[in-house]
Amino acid sequence: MQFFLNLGPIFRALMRQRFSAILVVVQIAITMAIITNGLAITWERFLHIERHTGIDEHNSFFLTSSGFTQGFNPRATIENDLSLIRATNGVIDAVQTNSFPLSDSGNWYELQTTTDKDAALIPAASYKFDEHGINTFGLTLVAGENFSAQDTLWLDEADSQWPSHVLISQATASALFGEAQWQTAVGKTLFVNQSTPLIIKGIVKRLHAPWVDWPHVEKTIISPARVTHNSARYVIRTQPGRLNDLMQSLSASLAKENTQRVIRKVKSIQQAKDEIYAADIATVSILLVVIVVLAFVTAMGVAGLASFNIDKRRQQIGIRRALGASKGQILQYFMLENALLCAIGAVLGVLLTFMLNIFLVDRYSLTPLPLLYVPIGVLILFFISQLAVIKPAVRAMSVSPAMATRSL
Amino acid sequence: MLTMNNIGKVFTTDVVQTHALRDFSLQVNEGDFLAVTGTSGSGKTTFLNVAGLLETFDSGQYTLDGQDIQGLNDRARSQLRNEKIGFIFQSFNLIPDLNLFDNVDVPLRYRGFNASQRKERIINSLERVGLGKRLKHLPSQLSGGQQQRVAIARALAGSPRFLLADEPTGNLDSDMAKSVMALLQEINQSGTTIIMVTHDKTLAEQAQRQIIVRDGKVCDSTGPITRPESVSATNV
Amino acid sequence: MFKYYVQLALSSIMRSKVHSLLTMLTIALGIGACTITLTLVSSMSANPISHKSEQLFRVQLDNWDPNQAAISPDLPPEFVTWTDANNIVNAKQAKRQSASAITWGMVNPTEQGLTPFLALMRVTSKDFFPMFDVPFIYGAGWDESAEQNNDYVVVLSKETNQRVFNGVNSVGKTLTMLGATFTVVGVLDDWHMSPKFYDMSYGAFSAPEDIYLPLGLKAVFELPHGGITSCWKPIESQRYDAFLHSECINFQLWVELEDGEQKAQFNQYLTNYVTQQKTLGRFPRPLNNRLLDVTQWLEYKQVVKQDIQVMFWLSVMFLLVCLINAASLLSAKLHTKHSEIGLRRALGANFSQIILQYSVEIVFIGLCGGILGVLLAIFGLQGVASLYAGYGQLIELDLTVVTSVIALAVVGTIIAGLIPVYSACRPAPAMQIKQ
Repeated sequence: MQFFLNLGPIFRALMRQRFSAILVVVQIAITMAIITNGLAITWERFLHIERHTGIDEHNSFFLTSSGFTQGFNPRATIENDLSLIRATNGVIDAVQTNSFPLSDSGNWYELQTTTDKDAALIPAASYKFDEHGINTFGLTLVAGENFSAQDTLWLDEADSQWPSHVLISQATASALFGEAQWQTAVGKTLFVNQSTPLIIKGIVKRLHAPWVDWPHVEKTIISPARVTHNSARYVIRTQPGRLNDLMQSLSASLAKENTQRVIRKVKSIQQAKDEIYAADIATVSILLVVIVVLAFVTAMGVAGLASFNIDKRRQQIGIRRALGASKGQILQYFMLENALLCAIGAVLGVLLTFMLNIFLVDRYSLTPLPLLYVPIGVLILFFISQLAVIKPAVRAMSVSPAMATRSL
Repeated sequence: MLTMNNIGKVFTTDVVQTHALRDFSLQVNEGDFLAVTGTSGSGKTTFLNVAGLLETFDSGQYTLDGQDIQGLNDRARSQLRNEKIGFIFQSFNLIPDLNLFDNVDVPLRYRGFNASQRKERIINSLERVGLGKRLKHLPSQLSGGQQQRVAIARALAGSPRFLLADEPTGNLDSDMAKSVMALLQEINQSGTTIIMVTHDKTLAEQAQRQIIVRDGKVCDSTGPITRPESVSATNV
Repeated sequence: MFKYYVQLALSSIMRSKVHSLLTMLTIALGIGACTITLTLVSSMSANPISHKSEQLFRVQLDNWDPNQAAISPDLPPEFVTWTDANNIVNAKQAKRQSASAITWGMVNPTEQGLTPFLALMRVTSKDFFPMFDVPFIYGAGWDESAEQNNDYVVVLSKETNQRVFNGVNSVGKTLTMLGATFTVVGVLDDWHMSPKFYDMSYGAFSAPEDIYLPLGLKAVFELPHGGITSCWKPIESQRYDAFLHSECINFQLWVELEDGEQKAQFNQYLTNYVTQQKTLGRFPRPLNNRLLDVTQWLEYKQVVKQDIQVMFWLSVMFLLVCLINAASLLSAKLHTKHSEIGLRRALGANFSQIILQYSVEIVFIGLCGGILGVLLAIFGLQGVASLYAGYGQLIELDLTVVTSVIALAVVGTIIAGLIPVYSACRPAPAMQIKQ
């Protein structure tokens, strides 16, 4: 009750310095709009970046071997390279592949469960690697089984032939056979290019497409093919902690092993990820800095107004103390005054938050703000401004009651 | 010299209208030393503010040194204030961050004197009040009486025709008050017209002429004031 | 008098150092944030060929699937097929025309005693160089006959010439690449269009190619298809020339047209060309040719990342908060000066003199805040540049941005600061002298 009785005089005192009070209220409101929208964007991006691709991102790297001489033998080179790499101490496994998640290059096909022309087409990114792929990428088989060495087909660059068996990701299975029946996909047939039938040998839990922003990023299909190119890409998974030294030593020993080619683009998956997401990481970092600095600036503004008010009212505070107000009541007065400003600011702030969000959604097709962020924004602002007012309020608390008798 | 005819000044708040001055008429001649007394709320401060062009008035006619004040804009009023009127306040009103020299300098700057003119006037007027050796001191390093002398020096520096003093000794003890009064007498004798507002009757008696303000009117009689104090809004 | 105001301003600032510094810092933070985002926007939305941008046109033809537009709702594809690229370039209906595509191949500079390396290449038409004002240090592009005869000629980038020939004039020298011997005809000077509007398939800020060679050599050497390749119907066979004769798009087609008349003529030619191709069974969709000039093309491609535009708006609001904060701080300071203002008024200062006195102080604070903000932005941009690894080096503070933000800081601070001054001066002077 006391609490509400106090609000009236506080409000009237604030109204006597409308200009300063309005400035702080507007400042709190705009800050809230920025922080709330900024946090929503940051969190959305963060989840996007941290999405798991299904592979062992931390202990893997890749490199490209490009042959350039007339007599270069792609197939023999790949076989030699892979046995050299796999035999190297510290390497868990390695595979030659057309592509991998986060590489940003690859191709996709449209899959169907029938050859019917009108049936729904399911797009899926295509990976081509042999039975070592599961182990190299650290994939989890949730149904069926891995390829055997006999399944693997050596293909010429121009050869568009398909091996008879494929693995698909769980998301592909769900899309083809229904969310509930994805496990039944093993052993069934799917068709690619509306003609070629392929038997599903197994299902991996998760393997993302090479392009992070592709709408169908979870849908992938793996065929046990090794395509002989003059250029071949290897993905190598190392034991934890061995990544950096193996990146160096392996590319050196591969270059020495066969001088009819060059080793290039040696990079860890993590590096590739950082590059792919560079713009998103930049957005997240910049927004976070902006949010922190903004919180700081607004806290300064709130503290500034409070300490200015307190200086102006030193004698008044002294009189209140002389008339029997406890230190706690003085503290409470200024905290309440601040809470009142904050409450008015929050009302305006919620309005501004939605206006800003509507503007951004409308203009830049951002996702609409989840409603949960609004109370979070209010709480953050409330916390910042109450925190900012503590120091000046404590100073007010320590004003001596003797101030009352002192002339100005 | 200074003529007020039926001056009226009304303060309007949400609740009441207060007539701070009504039909206020007064004639001050060159070389006068006039004391204006009255109780709190009688309207004497309003009179001072109107006379000193710090506030406008609502009705009547006010002529200062032959110039009709009615209808002058802020710029002209500021200039008149600057050239013709010197102010002395009860609480001295020195700028605490400026030393004595710079404090006296303030009105001269707005007057547009050049540097050597200003310097000469500042030193002269500070010497006149006996503080010629303390140009670099800050107001806080002086006693109350000395601060009021600086304020008088500042008022004198621009050679005003009028000195308007608002309770010039109100914040001073009696010895200091005496010396400040003596200084004012001396200034008056050298030809400057002085209007002093005070509630102190003994002080008022030292002036050449004395008027009493009551209920916003000039009331020359010194008879007892029987009416209860009226509400004053001048201090809002 | 002005000198007096400057003195007053300086002494007022010096007397409340912390307060003034805080005000400047507040302004600086807002200005810094705005400068950074404005620089990002301006360096990304720059038009690298502004003097010619109304004469260069991207050509788009709609050879796509009759049942589905290349780009929804019904836009034509952004690239053209090998067939159309060659037909239109060879028809020479514009002042200049070029079709180009990214490819790559091994360079084997054994004569120079260097290890082989994989180079990024651009196959293109001879008009490419004059069209885009490509600067040469040595030699020039290839000529008409070299283009017609598919001569083995190359133009090297400055870096490639440095790498292979140590930077000397290599015109006339030979270079082994793609398993054949090529003759160098020209060496480019530094040339990095940003955004790389003529081919943004590897990103709007990707690096230029190392080597340029005639378009026809793509077929001769069966060079790989770099950039973006897209097909709406299966290629008939696995042979290389099946791709060339397919409806697969990969080529960037540009023409230079000097005026509206030429543009109208060229448009008519395109209409005739597509109509004629329709009789051969191609172009099953309705006529949908597009000619976009460079400005329109950049706008269509949304080169400025939406994130950056979002951040720009957020930073404008951030600046607003900072200015409001500065106004609060200035107004708090002025409250302590009410009696000084009243006194100065009593001593003869008029309204405009008071306003002027505080304006000097405020402008000074705003100016310092603005300059400090630009300094903050310089540091901030280095951090931001390292975040945008790909095109960080392209982010540069330009003079227009700097001067306009400093002006903004001053104007913003004046507005923020004069409102409290105005309200401090407004009451009659008498009110403030009484305590």
